[in-house]
Amino acid sequence: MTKEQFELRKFVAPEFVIGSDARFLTGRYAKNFGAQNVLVVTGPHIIEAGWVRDVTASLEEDDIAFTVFSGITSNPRDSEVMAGAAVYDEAGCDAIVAVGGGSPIDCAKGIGIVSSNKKNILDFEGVDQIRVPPPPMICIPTTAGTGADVSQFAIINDTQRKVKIAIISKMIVPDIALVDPEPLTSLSPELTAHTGMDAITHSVEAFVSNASSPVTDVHAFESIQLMNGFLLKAYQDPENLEYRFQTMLGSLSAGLAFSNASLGAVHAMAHSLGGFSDLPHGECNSLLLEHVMAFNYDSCPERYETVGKAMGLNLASLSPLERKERIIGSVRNLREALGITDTLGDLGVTNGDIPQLAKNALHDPCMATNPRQPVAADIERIYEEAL
Amino acid sequence: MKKHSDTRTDWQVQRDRIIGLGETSLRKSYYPELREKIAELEKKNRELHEAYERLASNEEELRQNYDELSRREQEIRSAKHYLEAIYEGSPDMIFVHSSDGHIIDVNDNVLLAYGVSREEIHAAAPSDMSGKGYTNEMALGKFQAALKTGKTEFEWFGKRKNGEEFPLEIRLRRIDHVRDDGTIEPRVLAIVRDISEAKMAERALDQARKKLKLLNTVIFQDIQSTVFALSAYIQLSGSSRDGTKVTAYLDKEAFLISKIVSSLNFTKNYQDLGMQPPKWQNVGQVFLYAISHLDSLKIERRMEVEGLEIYADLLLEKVFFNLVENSFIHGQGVTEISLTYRESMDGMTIVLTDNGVGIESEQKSRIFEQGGGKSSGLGLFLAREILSITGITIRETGEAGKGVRFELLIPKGAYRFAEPPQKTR
Repeated sequence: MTKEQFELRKFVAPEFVIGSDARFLTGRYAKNFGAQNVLVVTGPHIIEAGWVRDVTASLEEDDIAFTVFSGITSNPRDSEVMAGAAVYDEAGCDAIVAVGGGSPIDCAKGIGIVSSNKKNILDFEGVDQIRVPPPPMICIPTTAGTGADVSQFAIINDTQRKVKIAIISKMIVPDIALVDPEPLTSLSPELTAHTGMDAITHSVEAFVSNASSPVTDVHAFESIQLMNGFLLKAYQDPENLEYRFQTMLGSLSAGLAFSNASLGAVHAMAHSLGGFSDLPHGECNSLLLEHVMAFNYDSCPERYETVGKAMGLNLASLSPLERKERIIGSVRNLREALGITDTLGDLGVTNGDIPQLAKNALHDPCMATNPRQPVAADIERIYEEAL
Repeated sequence: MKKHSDTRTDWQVQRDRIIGLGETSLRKSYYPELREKIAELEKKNRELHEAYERLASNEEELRQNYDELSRREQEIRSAKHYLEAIYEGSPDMIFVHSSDGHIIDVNDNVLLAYGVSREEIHAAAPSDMSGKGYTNEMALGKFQAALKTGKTEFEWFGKRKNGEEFPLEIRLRRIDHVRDDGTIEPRVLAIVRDISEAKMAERALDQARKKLKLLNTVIFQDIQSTVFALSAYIQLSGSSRDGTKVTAYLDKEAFLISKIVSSLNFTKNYQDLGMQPPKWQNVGQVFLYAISHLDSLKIERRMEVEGLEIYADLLLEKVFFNLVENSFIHGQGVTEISLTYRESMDGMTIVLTDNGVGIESEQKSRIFEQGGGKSSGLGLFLAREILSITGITIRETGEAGKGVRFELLIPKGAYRFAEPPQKTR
């Protein structure tokens, strides 16, 4: 055990219920919070899939009124948050239920912040900028990757600056997460792959984060094992609820890990990409992860070797360099097995975009916990490698 | 728009914040808000409790006020009944005047005494209801005096609708009438008493005193003269040797002694004169009492004076006794007497007659004088004096040989008719 492991650490986690049909407990918990009129924040595809109907039926059973707000796109925009907050106020809501992946959940967190603090959502960028606690919030994740349902993070797209801002506060850790694997069965293979790689990125970055702790390590390690073991299976057999449950458990562990240990350069750079060109977050992470690992590796090789072990690699007979290549290669192989084979260039990113992307990434709070502090040139080079 | 810094210090700060051990890195908590809400509810509860207690206190106060008002209302109602009883039950007349003398209200006694309707009294000015010489200005002066000093008392003369005037004793009192809007309107309450009888009694007593003084003088002189004569005869009796003369002197002396005795007896009769004030007396009843002392069983009597009352000295019974006794003694076989009356412009005349021999014309003028009668001469004299105390005159108007006819003239105001007694089953 290293000296750092004796440092004071805090671990914040919401109450959560995990298992099939957990979503049907929404009414009971909303009632427990004294809610009388709930704002259900979700997306159109989730409504189409029928998961929102299950949640609102549960609310109706407990005689709780609700208003559905679904005006949300991927990489939720500041304007969408403000619109949702207006709906919350107009309807006289007193609690929020988020049903969906990272976008609806982050947007829901933003709506809660604005409704309590009566300011623009962009005013809360950074760490611990929230003064008045948001209303009670229940999260029902429908992807295995976001982690937002248990994290203190909310990522909002600043449409004017074309950057994603990170809002980090213990106050936006949801009050309860109802982690139900069943909604995962309706995920497309592509979304399964993107969100799953997002969860792996959370785990890896949390594990190598300079703010990691023994408790976050446990969750990060377990998450890497679970995702490495079941993500591809779930991708290949989407209807298999067992595989879906394991990936959901992996995502939950990853969320608990990164919520307390934070992330690193992958997410800082992905946020920059998402804000700049509205690219899918999970895919950006997937395309950047192996390159950031290569950049960070030498600052904490033993941590990465533990990551490799979590992925089931036998590194005992390998040299340090071979180990590095094996571990990074394993991540690349998983990505490609999941059908994520494009480059950033394929997604429309050009060399000319890189300086601005790098500049924005350097200002992302996630960069603060990257195990190696990069300079702009470092970031630019990583982008170029992923191009 | 937030500005960014590239320094590593910022990253260190960010890292520390993410680790979450800073003072502001707090998980949201509902407890402070809950505690605040509980405190707010407790405060509201206390306020509500205090408000309830205030309401209860106000309710108790209101109830006490209501009870007090109810008690006062009862007192006012009781006082009102009491005043109404006094107002209508008082033997006096009661007027309520405005400050300018206008009559606002009167009790029923006023209407009876003045013989007017309520509408007529409201339209009347003070002078309309006052005797000759009493003007509105004089009345207003009295009202102003009462308003200024609170009270004044005086005598006045009222005038009935038929023009008859009658003396009044008036007490004026200022009263403050509270209008509906709470302002005060000064008024004058007049308590008016008809003092006609009191005035008559006063005059009668004065008359009686004069009569008594006169009679005392007359009787004293009479006895003094008789005693002087008696002493002379006694001296003559003592000095005379002539038995016949002495016998004659003794007869004279005996006569003079009987005269003195007669005078002394007369004083017994009139000594009660004026001892008590005159009263209203039922003529028929007094007459019957008077003749009950006489043997009147063989006499037929006719009385048509039912309900007639006159204001006279209490010796009225003796007057009737003397008149009827004279008929028995001097009427020579009187078998019938009558007592009737007739009313005229001058007043009421009571007529007493018999069917005896009557009185000769030449005697008529002397029968009411002292010594004018056939016996002592004091009976009719005394009767005249008794009647005159209350202004009643007596005269004899009969025709000799057909019986006597005494007429007693009672002035207006000294006679009346009593209401017939109510028949009971």
